[in-house]
Amino acid sequence: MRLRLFSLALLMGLLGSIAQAQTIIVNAETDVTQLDNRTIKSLFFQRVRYWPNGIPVTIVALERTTPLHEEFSKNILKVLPFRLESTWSKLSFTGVAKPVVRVNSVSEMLSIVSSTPGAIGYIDEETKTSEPNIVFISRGES
Amino acid sequence: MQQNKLLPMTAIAFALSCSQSAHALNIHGFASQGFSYSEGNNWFGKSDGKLSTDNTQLGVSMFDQINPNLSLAAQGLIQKTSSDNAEASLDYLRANYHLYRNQQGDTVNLVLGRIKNNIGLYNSSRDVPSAHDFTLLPQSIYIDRNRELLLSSDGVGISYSKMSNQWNHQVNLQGGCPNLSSDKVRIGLLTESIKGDLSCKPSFNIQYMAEDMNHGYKLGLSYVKATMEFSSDMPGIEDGSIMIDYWVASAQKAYEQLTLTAEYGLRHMRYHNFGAYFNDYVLPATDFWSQSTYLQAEYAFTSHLRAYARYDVYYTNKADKSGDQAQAFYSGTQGIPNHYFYSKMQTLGLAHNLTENWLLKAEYKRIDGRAVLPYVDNTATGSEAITDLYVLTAHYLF
Repeated sequence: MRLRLFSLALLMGLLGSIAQAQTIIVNAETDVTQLDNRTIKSLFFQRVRYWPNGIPVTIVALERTTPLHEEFSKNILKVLPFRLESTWSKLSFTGVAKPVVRVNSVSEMLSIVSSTPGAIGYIDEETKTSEPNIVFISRGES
Repeated sequence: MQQNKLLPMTAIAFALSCSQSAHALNIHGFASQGFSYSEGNNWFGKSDGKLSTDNTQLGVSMFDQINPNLSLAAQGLIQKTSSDNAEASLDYLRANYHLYRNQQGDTVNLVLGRIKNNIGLYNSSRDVPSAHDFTLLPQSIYIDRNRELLLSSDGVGISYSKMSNQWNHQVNLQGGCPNLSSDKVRIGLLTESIKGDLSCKPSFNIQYMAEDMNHGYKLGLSYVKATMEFSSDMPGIEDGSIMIDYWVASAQKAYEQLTLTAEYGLRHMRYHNFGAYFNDYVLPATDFWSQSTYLQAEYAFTSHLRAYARYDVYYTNKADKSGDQAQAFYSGTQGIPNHYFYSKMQTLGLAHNLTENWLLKAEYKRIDGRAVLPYVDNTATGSEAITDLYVLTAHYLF
């Protein structure tokens, strides 16, 4: 019985994670194809503000109340979204970092990331399609 | 520091970039309105026993990435936090030049202009409502009556950021002059009755901050050295100098929903050459250490609803925590009681993101002692030691 319950919970968890999976996308001019989790966090918290090739990082994010934004924050960055928001506010309202570009939809996200050198954003795994000038990032563990 | 030359140069560069560059200028900001009620003393206007709306703020920021290595940023701020008139100020105006980076992500940046001082965890973002959940920052460390002195400097700075396997390290060093144009700075340092002009000698600020993002740790040490010359307009008070050395140690641990923060500050104040009258009658000590600390817990019920509790304490002179020696000093003249020389505060607060753009905050604060009370709206001889303060603020972010 315990094993069945455990299997059921595991299956539900897996299904849940599949349904909510997000993918990091970057503009092709970043010359980046893979990022580890720590670097992803440093990029989205604007601790790293330049790509290795010298292009400034532009964060593109969905509006704060969007479910996909909340899921991305919790699942990929492992923080509640308010921590991202307060960090972005602190850095942009003190002139230290470039303000985050906010978008209303995944299609707008794809469009902005595609057209902005140095842009990084995220989409739902389900909407992952081949787009010009966009690289889908594979994530490392560290 | 040539503050009179640096700031206009940066302003001209910014104006030229806005007019000539093809980049989209990013403009964003915030508007805030607060409602305050207090018992005992005033805060945010005449709030003692009645509702005050003297808590209004409008901030507009601009950012332009001129080229991959150069960006310009500025913020204008209009604030009304007392029954005095609203004040408009250039909050910051900075040119950021990216000097160096390597493959590991280590960077060196040069900054020029009016730069926010990096003191503790919150000084640089003290007026930004969406950067923290507090209505008033911990007054022990970020005492509002010294806001103008500590907020920013006109000068030049350099920042170094290093990534290691677990920790990010950041060092910010800047030199320049604090903005001394507000009369509040003179009153805060010398009392209302001592008239004259303050001028700045080169001062500097350095901060080291280490952060372990995966485990939620943040540790920092900040230091400010500010030196000012005073030109007296009063017979009996001589031209003198004031030296401030301010140290703040910071520690924070963030769990998923809970954040624990502690900061500890020591401020060495020295007054030189103001003459015998000043030493005998104006200040009870001319070489002393102020001490301050707070402990704070924040809890996020959801990402949109958060609460916090804090205890903080401030002693004007740590060698006279009770204020008794200062009271004895003033007993023959102004009759100032001991509770003017410390403040012990208990704070409870809530923050709620109502919608995408609207943020509501509520704060209750009990303040025992008058050392951190605003000068404006509180008479120099008020006698109430205890203040209960209730503040509700609405913020619109754009």
